[in-house]
Amino acid sequence: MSSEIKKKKFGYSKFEKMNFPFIYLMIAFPIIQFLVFWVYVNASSIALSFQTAQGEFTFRNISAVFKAFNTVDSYGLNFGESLKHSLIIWGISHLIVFPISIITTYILQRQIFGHYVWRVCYIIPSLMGSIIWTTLIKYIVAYDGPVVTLLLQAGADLPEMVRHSGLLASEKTALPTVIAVSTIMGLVGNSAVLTGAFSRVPDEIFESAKLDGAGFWRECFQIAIPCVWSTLVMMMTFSLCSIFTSDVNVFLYSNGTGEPGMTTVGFHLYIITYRISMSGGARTSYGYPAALGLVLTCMTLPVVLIGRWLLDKLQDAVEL
Amino acid sequence: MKGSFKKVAALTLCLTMGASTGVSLAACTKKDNVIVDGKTINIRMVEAGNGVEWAYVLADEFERVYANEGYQVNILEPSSDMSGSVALTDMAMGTEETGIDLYITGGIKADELGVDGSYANGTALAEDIRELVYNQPAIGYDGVEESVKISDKISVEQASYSVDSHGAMYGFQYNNTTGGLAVNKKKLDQYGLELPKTTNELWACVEAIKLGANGVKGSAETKNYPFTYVSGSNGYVVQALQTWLAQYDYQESQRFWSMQETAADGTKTDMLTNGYEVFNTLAVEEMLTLAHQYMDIRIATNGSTTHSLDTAQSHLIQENNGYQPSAVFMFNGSWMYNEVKLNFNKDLLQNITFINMPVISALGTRLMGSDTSYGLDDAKCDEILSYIVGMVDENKTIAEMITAVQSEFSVTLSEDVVKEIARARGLNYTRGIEQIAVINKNAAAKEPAALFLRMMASDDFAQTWLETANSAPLYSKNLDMTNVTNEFVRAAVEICTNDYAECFTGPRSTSGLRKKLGLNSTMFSLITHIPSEVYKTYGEGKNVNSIFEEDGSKSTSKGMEIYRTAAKAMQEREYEHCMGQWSKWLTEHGLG
Repeated sequence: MSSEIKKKKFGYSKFEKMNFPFIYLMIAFPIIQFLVFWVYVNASSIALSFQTAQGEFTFRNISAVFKAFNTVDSYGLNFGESLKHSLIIWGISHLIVFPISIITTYILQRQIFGHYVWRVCYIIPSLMGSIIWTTLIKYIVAYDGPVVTLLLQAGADLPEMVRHSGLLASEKTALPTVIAVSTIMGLVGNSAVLTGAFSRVPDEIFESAKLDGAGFWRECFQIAIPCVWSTLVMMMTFSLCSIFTSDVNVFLYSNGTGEPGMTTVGFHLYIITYRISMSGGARTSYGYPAALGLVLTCMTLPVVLIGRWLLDKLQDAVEL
Repeated sequence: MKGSFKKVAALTLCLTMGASTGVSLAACTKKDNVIVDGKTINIRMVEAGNGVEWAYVLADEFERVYANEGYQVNILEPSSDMSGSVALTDMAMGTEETGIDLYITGGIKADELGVDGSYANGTALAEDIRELVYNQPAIGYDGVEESVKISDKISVEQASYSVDSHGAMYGFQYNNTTGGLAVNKKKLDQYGLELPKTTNELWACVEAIKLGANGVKGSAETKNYPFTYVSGSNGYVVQALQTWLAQYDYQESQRFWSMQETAADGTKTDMLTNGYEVFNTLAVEEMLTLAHQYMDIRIATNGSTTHSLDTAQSHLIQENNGYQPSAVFMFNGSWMYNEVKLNFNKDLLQNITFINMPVISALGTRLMGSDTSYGLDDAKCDEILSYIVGMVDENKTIAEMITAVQSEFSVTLSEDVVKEIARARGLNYTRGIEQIAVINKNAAAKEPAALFLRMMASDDFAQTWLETANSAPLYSKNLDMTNVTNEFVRAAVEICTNDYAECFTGPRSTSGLRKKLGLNSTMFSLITHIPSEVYKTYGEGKNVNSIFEEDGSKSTSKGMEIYRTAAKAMQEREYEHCMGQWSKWLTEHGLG
């Protein structure tokens, strides 16, 4: 009786209160992490965007970013070009590769002939570190690697730079090569996540559909995909956030130069920060990359919010 | 029971994570093994190509000499992460917080250490060492002061790289490096070729290796090419192009990097109305012509445009086995030995030597050619140029060189001409200026730290540096080379300590109007992007800028003028671009 009264008065029983220190401690850690590594870092970054070398307020960093859209910036990089490359890579990865990976994963999930072999082929690259993977790819597309050799044997008219130094050496083939590789990696990465989602769809639903006369593709589009729709929405939302952050390992493919014509926004941001760091640049040298990040956030934010809203609408439609 | 176990496990995990966060945050200001007693010099240093052994040898000598005073040296764990920016951040915290007295690091500009530095808040981060160290004599390992001041042991220009805009001196330089050409002497000998002294001689080597000579077949069959490169934009190409620009006309290269005219009395005037004219000079044309010649991928090993540094160096060092890419020359620096010594066996490294950047042959034509009172043809100009360069390498005096040329070629050259050639040969594109030691502001052990630096400037330390860091010292040329067994190190040290050696650097010394306009990076990218611009022509497959055919033979339709034509086109593009942007740049910086 008395315990019930106490509970009403303070809202929690004595026993529950004994758990408070544990709960506070558990919550404290992520809160500290959030405050230090998100709030402080981002606030500092935003402040840097509007600071001169002397710490005074300025819009110069922001205006430098807008100029960089169509000219070479003071780091010798063309931001507009990087942006174009990133949008192309993102478009191919998410508008073409992603739908294909949904279909291919579903096909493998439905245990077609040889699915074990294909699954292993799919999974192995995702187990390798990016440095091992890029080293391997660099060999495969080198001037004496299998791809160039096969193309030459097939009579392809490759540019001299390709014959001399491989597919990553020519402006005409370097970016397409990186896109092709990121496409393969996209298939692999998506497959790992989607396999888990598809495997949670009960077999009984497919059996029932089969009894109702549904074919393979009808099962795919009208049963399997709607069942994993929440996972797809999550993946698509994350993909919207990653428009400007993915550098598709350009740094590794180009030995840190971004040449010839391979720069992406992710690479662009990384290389500027890296150069400032390596050249002993001071804290306020980061004003330009900070402003660049801020402008990119402003560009991404509406895309993510509207995209998320649309995807939620679609999800409602699917659930209905 | 199960529930309480989960709770205990979760609580333990939580406390562990919390503690790790706390420790991480605390580490930001941790005084790790620092002894602050005013007598112990706490040193934080970078672990780079020259290693750290020299610092421990010096520390031992210092402690022995100052045993009575009780001075000690406490070198904290050297780290490759101790870059200039890390040191700056550390110094910004203040010596009271860190306890560090001396930083040995690299890449910090003097202005960043001074009152204008963005971390400075009106107070310099470092002690001004001009009176404390620079204007004092060095101290030998016997504790005795040398007879000359440290300031008399290096040039004013070299020292100026450590001076900020207000005239305060912060960085103590100690390394002496130069860019140049790494050469596989064993491979070069197979073709019966000598080490080149001028760019024409270098090109003769290129043609001989590419087409075959002395019974050795051409590159297409041997897979041994004249050059190997590091891919894309990199300092290895920059130092070559910068050196050629400065060799051709040192004053013009200064004008190029400052956009200032210099009057006879030394007064400098900003080229406000026509700064872009610095691109429209013969010096730039000659430099770009050589860029097109030596960036011709048909003279380079397969894969050169995508090589990493390690791969490019391996093509130079490894034996030619007939199927793997191999090369004879590589643009590199005197520091290369330290980069490769762990990766290759000593026998292979003995085949490698180092030469100063061959002098631009156009200089000979400019000084002695048909447009001068000497009226010599280009071939004769190059012959005399090469002859003088050889004498510069042997430290002959100007008078001796004039007499020798008179005797050998029956040409009486003026002192100015020979001096200009000697200066061109002595120009060393250095990166040593980036390596500095800095006394932290208000360091508890400021006086001992200053004494430590004075000992670093001694002849005794020069010998230590030579033998432990495999590099040339900055403050002494009187070296005992007996223990230097590697040919590369020996050659590199001889270049850096030559009587005519003069350190210079390009974009890092950007000054004057160019600095005001913030065009240092733009010009830097002009230089680094040259290879990429040259490579683009190979993608088209037609009108390639090369005198060689793709099959390895020499073209019957194209001559050397193809490189100059391409260079002029590139120069014109850059000139017109800068001219078009000029008024905008001035307006943006309040100068228009």
